[in-house]
Amino acid sequence: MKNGFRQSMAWLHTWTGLLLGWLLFAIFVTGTSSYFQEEITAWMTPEVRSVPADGPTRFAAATRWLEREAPGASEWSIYSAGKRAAGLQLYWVNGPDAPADAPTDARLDGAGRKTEARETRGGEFLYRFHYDLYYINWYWARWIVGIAAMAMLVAIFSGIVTHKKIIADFFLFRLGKGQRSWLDAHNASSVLFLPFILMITYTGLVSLATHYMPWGIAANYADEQKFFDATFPWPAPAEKAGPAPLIAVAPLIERAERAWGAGAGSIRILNPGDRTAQVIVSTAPDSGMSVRQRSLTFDGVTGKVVGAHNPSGAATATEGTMIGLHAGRFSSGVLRALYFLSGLAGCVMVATGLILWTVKRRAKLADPERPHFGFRLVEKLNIGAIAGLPFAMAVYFLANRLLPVAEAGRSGREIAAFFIAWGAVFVWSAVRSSARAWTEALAMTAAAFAAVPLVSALTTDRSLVASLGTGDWLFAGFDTAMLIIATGFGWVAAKRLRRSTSSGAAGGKRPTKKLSTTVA
Amino acid sequence: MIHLLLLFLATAGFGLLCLSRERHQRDLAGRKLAGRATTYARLGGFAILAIALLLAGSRFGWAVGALEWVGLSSVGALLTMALLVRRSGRTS
Repeated sequence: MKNGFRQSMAWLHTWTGLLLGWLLFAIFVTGTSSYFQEEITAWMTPEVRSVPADGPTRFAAATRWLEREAPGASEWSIYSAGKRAAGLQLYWVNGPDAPADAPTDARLDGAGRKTEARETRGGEFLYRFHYDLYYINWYWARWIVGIAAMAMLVAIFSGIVTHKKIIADFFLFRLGKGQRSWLDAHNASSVLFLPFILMITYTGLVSLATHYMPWGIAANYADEQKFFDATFPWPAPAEKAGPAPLIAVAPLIERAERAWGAGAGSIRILNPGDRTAQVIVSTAPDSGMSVRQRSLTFDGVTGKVVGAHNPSGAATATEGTMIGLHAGRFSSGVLRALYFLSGLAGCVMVATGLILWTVKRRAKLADPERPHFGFRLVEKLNIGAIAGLPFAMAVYFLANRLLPVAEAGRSGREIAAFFIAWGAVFVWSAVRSSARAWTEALAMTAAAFAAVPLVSALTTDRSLVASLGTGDWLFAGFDTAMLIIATGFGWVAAKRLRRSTSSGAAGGKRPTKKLSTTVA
Repeated sequence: MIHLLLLFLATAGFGLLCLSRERHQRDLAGRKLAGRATTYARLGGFAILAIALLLAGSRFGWAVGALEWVGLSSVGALLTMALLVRRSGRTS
């Protein structure tokens, strides 16, 4: 009976893992990269040189900029992603006398100057892809991602049951033993990082829980919008009542920060320059573990506190903290690096699991020279997902540097380059023999990542050498990371190449490859 | 610096836990350990990991400290595994 249970769990683990593994790999890779979302965006807008400035004066400078550039607006808002942000993002709603095509947003650098950066979605594209995918409606995308995350949870638990020597084999890793080694790599990445992998999968589901399970809201609110209005208040500007000077915002922000003991991350000013003006100050996204933001509303003329929003209650705190734990926005330095490393372990777990499916079955193929369609399909999809997605990301970074800077709609073209590159690897894997396509795709990925710092050095004045010289750790770190990733892919590609040539010389250790290539 | 110390403690803790496994003793220590030494290695390993958790908690607060401890423990266990692979490669 016990054996039967374990076997059925092994079956469940194999097939949930395989069916959603490719999508899960994409979710894990883009999600892992999102721990450096702000840094990726900063690298992709090299025109912006962020000068650090303390919060309140930065916001005050942005307010003065808006007073100059968008007077008569009914609303201004100023956002900062927190301490790591590369500048401030400004939005405003123009008044009735403004021309219809007047701008409604701008980005300011740390010194309060408007940046003329190239148009790009930067790290935000990878972050959004991680749960909204692309080219399909976000509503259905979130359902697909949720099903994948649920399958992941099933795969984790059934995997724990299947792995009967989880404690005995805790430290075991056998190198150069074929299927054994793949299994050990799959086990090591999942068992040693199990706390993270469980946490990230579960909290990922929690972060979209109201999407998947709207019944809690439906039972308590006749209109779903009422729930969101109560949870995330968003007051509209009142009827204007006559001009009055706007109070200085820096002291208000300082007062709010003192009251919270946490940094401010955004301010909204309703009806600036009017007697009905209000200033709403909210906490920064990286100011605490919970993502639920607190806010204080001030009268925009007298500076009196007229309202406060403090999300409270155990359920809200639990939900907010779980989502915060998932996104890790509060983490700095070492903890962020640990999040990233643990995310990589998750990527390795999914990738080795997918590869293991083919390694295990290759030995049992009736005719290894002509594997059946299902086997070939899995092999091709593995190449397209595991080598293809990283390749696409490198191409996305390259496109950012190579597309004309002033071109209209260039951010869309960067994304198009990403998907074309990804699709090309799928096509490549379909037309080549799998063994060759693996090596070639991995080598191409290595080359693409190695090219990123090179192309960046040729197209901007912020090369790796220059960044190291000026102590620009963000740019130096990004370029170095590209080189490390390139080395990793290059190492695997070289290892495959060595093995295939040596086995070819030995004659028949891996006859599958030799024959299939002569046939092709 | 405190991060390095925590990483060292995590690696040492998992290293001792690894040493308390009979199948790894020949690779790590070069010989089989006595029953008592094995027990000490196991207890020592758990104790060092507990100390690391206390240190992280008192330094960063329990919320962030526990997270940092979990992350560094994973990395420490991975380093232990890497060490074991190196040493077993040498002996066999």
